[in-house]
Amino acid sequence: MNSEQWEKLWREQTVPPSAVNLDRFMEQLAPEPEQWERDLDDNEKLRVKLLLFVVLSQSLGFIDGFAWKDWFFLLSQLALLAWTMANRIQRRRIFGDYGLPMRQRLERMEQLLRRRATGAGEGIAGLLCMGLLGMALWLGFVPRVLGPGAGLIFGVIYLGFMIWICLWQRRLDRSRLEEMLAKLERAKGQLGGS
Amino acid sequence: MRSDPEIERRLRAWWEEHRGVCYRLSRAYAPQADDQADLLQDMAVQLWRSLPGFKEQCRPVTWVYRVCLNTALGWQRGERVRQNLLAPEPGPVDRIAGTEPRPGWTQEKEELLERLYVAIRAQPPEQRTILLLSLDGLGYREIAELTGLTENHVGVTLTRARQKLAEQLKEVRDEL
Repeated sequence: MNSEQWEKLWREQTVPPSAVNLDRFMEQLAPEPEQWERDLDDNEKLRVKLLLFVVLSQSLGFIDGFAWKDWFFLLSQLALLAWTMANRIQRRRIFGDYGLPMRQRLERMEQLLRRRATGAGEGIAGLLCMGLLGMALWLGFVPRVLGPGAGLIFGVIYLGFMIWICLWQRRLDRSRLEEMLAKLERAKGQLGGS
Repeated sequence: MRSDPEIERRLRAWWEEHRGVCYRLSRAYAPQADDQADLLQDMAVQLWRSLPGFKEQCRPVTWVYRVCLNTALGWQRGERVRQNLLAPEPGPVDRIAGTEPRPGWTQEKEELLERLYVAIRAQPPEQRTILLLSLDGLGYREIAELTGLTENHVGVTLTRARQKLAEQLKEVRDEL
């Protein structure tokens, strides 16, 4: 094929109308956040505000007479705050750009879900928060109010509760993950067929 | 999707007029049919988003080229880090999913066109861009304006790109 031929071929190529259907492209854009995304967003905002309030009020209250044990409580709130913020940032990266083409959005969502299925980062962050909170209550608040014996009993119960919640959460995560992935597959299938 | 009716009207008019530019660019930058469809959609979205900022300082077609080229280059940069880049080039004919065959075109002609696109995609980015714009009939000055290069540079690069393309297509049978 010489240059004249390829130039002729280039000029002759027409554009298949269905390949450049603007309406189809616009339909595939996610127009607005889904209701559950909005609810999640509102919940997170509220959680961040509450945590900020707790941390600030505790910091102010502990200025005079701040026991070392109280640090656990403050740190647990700070860790929870950081964890919530990190989650929020991550979710924003996935869902934030509502103008993203649907296919890309679905792919990103799938990546996130699969990463969550294999990675334990979030679980560890959650455990850290709960662990610190437990230490604060075990060593600080409960013995101070109810006596050292109650503190020990509380510690054991709390440890059991943490183990139970980890196992329960894991099972819940797995079933929700499978459900979400199945939904994603269906959505991608519909998109491919449109 | 909320949109200013005037913006939407203009987008539709320009899309109707210049959609061929987007189509050719998408095929020249994305090897897979699904990716081409995604890239085309990205271009449409980018045009829609950028339209309110259009300052009427250039012709609409120049602006469309600029937006779509930037989208394609951005897409390609992102694509390099994605795993599916490692997927092999598609077969000789791989139309954008769901599109109808061109009326009056034989299978062989489609294959030749795809071979041409494969050869274009094999060019380095700068040469590929200049070659595409030249094939679309743009002059040195317009290409220089779009790419930010000097006219001289455009001329030299285009000569090299055409030589390379001729080399790549030498083997392709004369079926036209």
